[in-house]
Parts: sequence; structure tokens; C-alpha cells
Amino acid sequence: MSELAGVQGDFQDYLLRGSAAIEAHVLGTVRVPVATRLGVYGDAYRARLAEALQANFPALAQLLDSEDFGTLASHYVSSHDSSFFSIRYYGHELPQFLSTHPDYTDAPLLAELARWEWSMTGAFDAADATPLTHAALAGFSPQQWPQLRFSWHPSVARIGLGWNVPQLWQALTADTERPAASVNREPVPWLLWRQQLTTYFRSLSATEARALDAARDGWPFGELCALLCDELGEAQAPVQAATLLRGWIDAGLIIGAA
Amino acid sequence: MLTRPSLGFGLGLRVDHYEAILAERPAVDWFEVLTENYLVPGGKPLDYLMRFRERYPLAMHGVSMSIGSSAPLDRDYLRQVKALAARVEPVWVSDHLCWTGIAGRNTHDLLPLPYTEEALAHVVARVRTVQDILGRRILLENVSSYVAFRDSHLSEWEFLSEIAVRADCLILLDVNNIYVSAINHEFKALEYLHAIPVDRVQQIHLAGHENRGTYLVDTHDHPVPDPVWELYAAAVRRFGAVSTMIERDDHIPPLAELCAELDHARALCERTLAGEGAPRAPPATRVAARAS
Repeated sequence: MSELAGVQGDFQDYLLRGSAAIEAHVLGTVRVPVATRLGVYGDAYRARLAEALQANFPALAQLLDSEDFGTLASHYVSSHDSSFFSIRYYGHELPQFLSTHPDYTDAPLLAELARWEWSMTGAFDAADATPLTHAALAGFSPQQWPQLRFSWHPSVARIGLGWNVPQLWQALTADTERPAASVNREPVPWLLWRQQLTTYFRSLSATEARALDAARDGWPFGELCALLCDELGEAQAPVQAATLLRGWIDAGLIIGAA
Repeated sequence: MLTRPSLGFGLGLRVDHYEAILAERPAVDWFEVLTENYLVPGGKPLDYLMRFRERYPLAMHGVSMSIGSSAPLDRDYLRQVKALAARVEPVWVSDHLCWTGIAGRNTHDLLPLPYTEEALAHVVARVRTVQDILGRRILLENVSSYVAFRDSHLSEWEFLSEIAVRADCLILLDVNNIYVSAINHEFKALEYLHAIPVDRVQQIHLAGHENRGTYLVDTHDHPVPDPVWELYAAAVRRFGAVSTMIERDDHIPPLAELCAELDHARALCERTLAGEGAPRAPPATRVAARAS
């Protein structure tokens, strides 16, 4: 190993694990001893990653008080190094961490809120794409329709929530009166996406969620109609299929059909 | 001569000021953008960036190149920087003379290097590679530091100058960082300044710091303090009217406050030049940094 690699290995081990080997490489002065000098880096490392978590999960940080969020950040930072060139991506495992760490499993709302915030950020800066227009869709012949498969805007995300997380998130980010946390009778399917530069979300009926998930899995339109037929019966299925598709086009969810 | 003519006086572009800048069109000559903030797939960050690009010259300033790391260069990162640069057409691309991590980790800090021949040769080779990949000359900024390594047998100014000359790159001189490191390591800031080759300095950063009694920390969350202004005047005397900007990363004040601080920099530069005569490098002999 080169000397440079050795010094950097020891320095990084100090920052990430508190290892003392770096002290042998560093010069102190009477005025500022080695421990103080290294401490500037150690403190800055932990503070920077904790700040990143706060920036990436602002509603969660607000829901917990600063002391509890600080404890959470400290737990997470000590067990999760960053491998990202941008600090914007630090914290991607926080939802999983919250749902499995014994200190937080009694409060599943926290993991759901973290998952929600991460999904919203993903929609916020997902790749741009031009939505498919009604006119473009009208160009397909009746014979082509049953085989049509759709491609989706990169921002589209689906999430199922057991708690009233979106309502809490709205109150926390708008700083309005917060509703009481409540658990849903069964998980509610939510859709998140971005149209132009604005991020949207709405809850879905169970039927729309199944149809949308199938469509995003690549089912052709004919099979989507069959799925709706099974759910709603032959009388309602065609109207419902047309209504859903119109809604998805209007919202800019679909960017291609082939 | 290697540097391009001065762009004048700029600011670091921060989200807090987006709307004010678009609405007020402040008399800022140029902006420096943080590269990583725009290395995202799409959406508002890139939309805003291109709106600013229509209105002002932009410089791209990165924090993750890790030019001094013993780990291999992150070519995916460099590919993304190059793609962003192709879109933004920045006046130049800069990063820091430091390392940020090894073994696939990013500490998100600008960590100091031992000033050795080994590190020097390593960084020079990597700067050349980066410049080949990006197709342009880059600027490297001196960072503030709190530790010095036993192995170092070069001074920081020797190390920085040698890299710039050997790798044929340019320098982003952070005057505050020189001051902070001079206090922390008990060297003379003017000695540092006077060792830097004039024709390599493309840009100057000004910022504030935090005084922790026996040492200073480069927090970028305070106004530029008097000793840094004095050092800036000395830099102007040596390097002339180099493109200069104020960098504030935390406790970000209203835009007008930063513009007033920038006016102070402009006035100080003009006064200094009027008192000391013209810059050493006549503008007519300078060529564009991007023509590498």
C-alpha cells in the first residue's frame, strides 16, 4: 500500500469508526493538540450527515423533536456510510432502518413518513419526459388497441400506506394544524408523480391501483380491460378503462404507447 | 498567460435566492453553481439552472471529484459532470485540492492531503486524466485545513503551485481558506499568496469563518471579516482583477446583504488597483481557460 493510501485509510477509519491510528500521522501544536485538530473533522463529518438527513427528511425531523431526531441521526450515521457523490442521496435506507431498528418498530408511522418523503423527493427531481397526448393516442387503429403497452413518466411512483401519512406530511410541511396520527383499516394505495415541475399525489381506489400496477408492469390494454372486466363486470369495464386511461393521460403519467 | 479575462464580481448561487434573483435581476456579474446540486435526472433544479444560465455567466464548482484520493477516479461522476457542462456551458469547472473518501465511501468533507512527492505525482496524473475526460482545463481550490501530516515536506503553496504547473491546470484561490489555514498552522498568509504563480489564478473565493479561540473553522456562515479583506487586497495587488466571488453556505442572509458585501469587494478591488497600478497580466494576452 502506498503511503498516501495508508494515511487516507487511517483518516477515513477515524471519521467512520473512531479508529486512533491516524494520530500517528498528524502533527499537533501546543496551542492546538492533535485530538482537537482531528476532532474538527470528526465532528464535521457527523454533523454534515445529520444535517443531510434533516434536509432530506424535513417532515420527519419536525415530527420528532430535535433531540429525538438527533438521536435517530446519530444511530443512522454511525451505521450507514455514504457511498454517494451527492449528499442528496444520503438516507435512502432510513425507511428500512426505522422499520427494523428496535427503538422505532413501535412507531411504524415514522418509517412510512420517511418512505413518503423519500418518494416525494424522487418524484421532484426524476428525469423529464414529454407526456403522451390524447391526439397521439387517437392515432392508433382499433386493431392496435388491445396490444398497446404504455411507458411511464420517470417520476411515477406507487406507495401503500397504513397511516394517514400524506395528511400529516402536508400539515408538517405547511406548518398548519396537524391531524392526529391514525391507522387506516387497510393500507391505502397512493400515486406520486410530477407534471411539468409540480409534484402531485393522490390516493387510488383498489381497482385503479391494480390496473395501474398491471399497466406499469407492461400489461397490454386488452389485458387491462380483461382485468377490469373481472373486477367490475362486462357492463362497466369498457367505460372504466376509458376513464382511467383518460385520467392517466390528463395527469401526464404516460409518455409513450406502442 | 493562461487565464481568461475577469468576469467581475459574482456570488455562489443558493436556493434561498432563486426567486429574488429571477425577480430582481441583481447587478451580479456571474454566479458559481454547486455542481452536485444539479447532477440529478431532471425537474426543478435543472429547470432553474437553465433559467439562470440564460441570464448570467455560470461557473461550475464541484465537491466530489476527490482529485487527491488514492481510490480510482469516479468516471461515472466525471461523465455526469461533463454532460452537465455540455448543457450549461460554464465559464469554467472547478473542484478542490483534497480527497473526500476511499473504498467507495464519501465523507462529504474536503480532506487535506499530505504534501509529499508521492501525493504530488498522484494528483498531477489525475488532474491530467480529468482534464482529458472533461476536455477542458479545470481549476483547483485550496481548502482550509486543521491537521498537518508528519510526512509533509512541501508547503501547501509549493504543493498547489507545483500541481498547477505540472498538470497545466488553473487555481481557484480561496483567500479565506489561506487565512484560516495560516492561523491553524501558524504560517504567513502573505508568504503563501506570494508563492502562487500569477498566471494560474483564474478565480478568487471570499468567505467568512468561525473563531474557536485557538483555531479557526471554515464555516462559510459569516460575513467576510477584516483580515480576509486585507488579504484580498494583497491578492488583488498580486493577481490583478481576477474574477472574485463571495461564498456563503450557511446562515444565508437576504440577497441584498450579499450584494452589498460584493459591492465592498468591488470597491476594495478598484481602490487597490488605483493605488497600485494595473494588474501584472495585461488582459489582451490572456486566453480562454476552456481552450485547453
